[in-house]
Amino acid sequence: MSLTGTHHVFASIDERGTNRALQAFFGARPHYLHYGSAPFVTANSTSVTQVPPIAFPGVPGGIAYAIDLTVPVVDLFPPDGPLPPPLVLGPGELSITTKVTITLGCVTGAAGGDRGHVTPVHTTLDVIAIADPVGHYFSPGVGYVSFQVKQVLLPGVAPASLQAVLDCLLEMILNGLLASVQLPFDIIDAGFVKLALEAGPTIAGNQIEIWGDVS
Amino acid sequence: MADSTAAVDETAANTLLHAAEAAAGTQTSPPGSGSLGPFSAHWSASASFAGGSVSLAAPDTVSIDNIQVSYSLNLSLGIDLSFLDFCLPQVCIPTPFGDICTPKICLTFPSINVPVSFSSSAILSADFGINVHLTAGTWFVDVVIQDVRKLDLGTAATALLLAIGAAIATALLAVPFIGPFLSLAVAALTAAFGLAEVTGLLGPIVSLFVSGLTFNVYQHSQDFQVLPASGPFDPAVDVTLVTVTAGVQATDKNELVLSVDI
Amino acid sequence: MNTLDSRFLRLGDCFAHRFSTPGTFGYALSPLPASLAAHHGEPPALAVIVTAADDAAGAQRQHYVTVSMAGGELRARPAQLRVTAGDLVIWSGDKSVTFAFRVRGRIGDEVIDSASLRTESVFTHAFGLPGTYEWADANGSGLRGQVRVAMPAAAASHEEWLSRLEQGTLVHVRGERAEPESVDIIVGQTVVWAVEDAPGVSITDATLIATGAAGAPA
Repeated sequence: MSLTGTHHVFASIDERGTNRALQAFFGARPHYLHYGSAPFVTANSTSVTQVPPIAFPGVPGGIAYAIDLTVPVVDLFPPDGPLPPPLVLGPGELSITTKVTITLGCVTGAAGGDRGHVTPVHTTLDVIAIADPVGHYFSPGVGYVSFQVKQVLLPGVAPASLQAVLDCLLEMILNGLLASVQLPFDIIDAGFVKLALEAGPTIAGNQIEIWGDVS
Repeated sequence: MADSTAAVDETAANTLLHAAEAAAGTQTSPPGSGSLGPFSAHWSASASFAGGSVSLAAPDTVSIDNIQVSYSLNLSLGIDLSFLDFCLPQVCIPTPFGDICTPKICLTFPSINVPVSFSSSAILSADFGINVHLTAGTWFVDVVIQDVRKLDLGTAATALLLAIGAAIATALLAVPFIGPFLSLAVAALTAAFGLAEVTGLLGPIVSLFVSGLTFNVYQHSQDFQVLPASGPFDPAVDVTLVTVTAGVQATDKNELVLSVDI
Repeated sequence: MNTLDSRFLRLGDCFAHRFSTPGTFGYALSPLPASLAAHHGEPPALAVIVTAADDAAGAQRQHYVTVSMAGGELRARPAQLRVTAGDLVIWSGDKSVTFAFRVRGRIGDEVIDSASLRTESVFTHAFGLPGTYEWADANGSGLRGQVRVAMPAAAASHEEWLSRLEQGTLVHVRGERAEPESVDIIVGQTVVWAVEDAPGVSITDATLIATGAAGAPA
């Protein structure tokens, strides 16, 4: 069976290539993985993104916090291994695995000599997400593939209600940072052709595939 | 499995080839020399390529039929006119100072250079192989001619023969005392060579552009910029094209496939 | 190349002079129209020695001097020529003269100069290319004329054409007037300008003469 099928051009990037592209992206722009308010992050840079603290009455300066993620690792359908239930990697989907470290700036109570001192407390959790590829096509050779997370699981979190809260939180966070992650058509076809998109992106055989014509 | 794979079928390969021909532009040969019958010939030439239809054959053959090779030739023929040498006869005429007779004056005709400009096209059908190479930090995928199946000059030799005859006649007009000899001279000179000699001159010149003919179908810096810089905190995102391979895969369609590891 | 200009004698041109009085014409040859001083008091290298005629009704003879170029120098053969008063001497170049030459010298008080024709001098030119040639005096007089050169008839054979080349055409220059002013010839034929009582003229293609205002020679 031909690669191009009923089209004239085919391009794909496999799982290893996708992960290498993600490593390159987050290696150059790590601030998409590290967020924090003062005092954890004092200014924006290529390494970190400053966010405002959570305002709360009676908490001077708001609640300080930080969110740090490891470089996400992608698994393209078919899955390399089973996922923790209820997650299932279906045809056309990809899974994203990362670790999130949530840090809270804990301010001590009214009594005691260290009243008002901020002490960071943190936890690191595994995060697994199911996402779809989304194609963005503008003109021949100009376009990219991004990822839209639709289901997140932080396994081992209890009770289930806390897990649901954190699942939703991480789904929002992952979609927020993945909005900036783009796989241009150029890296998928290595700049071989100016592809006019006609079909895809789809995921099969451990690769992201697109089809089209050449202009 | 390669990290990135791109494939084009024969239809898309035609588009890539035509773009490669246009990108190759007009190629100029170094000046050369040869002969045209008894006359010396010096020439410079240029050629460009267009059209043609691609068919692919595994593992790595790109056949291209009916490429139009458009060429321009600047030819300079060295022609010895000494065969026209003659003598002005003595002229005797009465003058107020007595009859005067000029001496017989013998004239030698110089060798002349006859410039000929000529343009035409030939049809080329050939098989090309695929050459992938990394040179000075850039990956190239070239199709390189391997076997010329046809190089058809068409009626160019006949047209060039006529053009040479016309150029000789024009050049001779400027030579003093040739005038009355002109038709004799042109006939004698053009009889010195014919279609075979013109083809023998033209064929090798056109073949110079065909020998080693290469079209570049892919070229990319080994340092591949995935995303450009965007703002002070978003530098460019780069990967390295570690390996590039190319070949023809034959299934229900024949496809030119480029495979890249990053 | 076949340029009409008596100041520069080329292959196909002749300069002739009738030496009517005895004396020695010492002269020099030059490739340039530079001023050539006649030699005084020393035997000239090139000379025409004119002796008195033996009898009043002596037949005029023609003498030929061939000019050639050897070792970068113009040479005349014979270098020394003895003639009788009334004879004609004709200078012409051979194939070795690839540029041009001028004859200039003095006999008694008379300067004889192929670039400045005065009297008893003849200039001939064989025309190699068709066209209409307006000629004039590059030395500034009002002398002018026209030579129309046509290609021979297509029907004419090569032999017919060669035989016609033996026919010359005379233009008689008296003072600043040419008679006839306009002549018609075919390619290869020779026009002979016989100059009499002129103020030192040249026969020059008008296109070669630099003009001042309103076409007058500069």
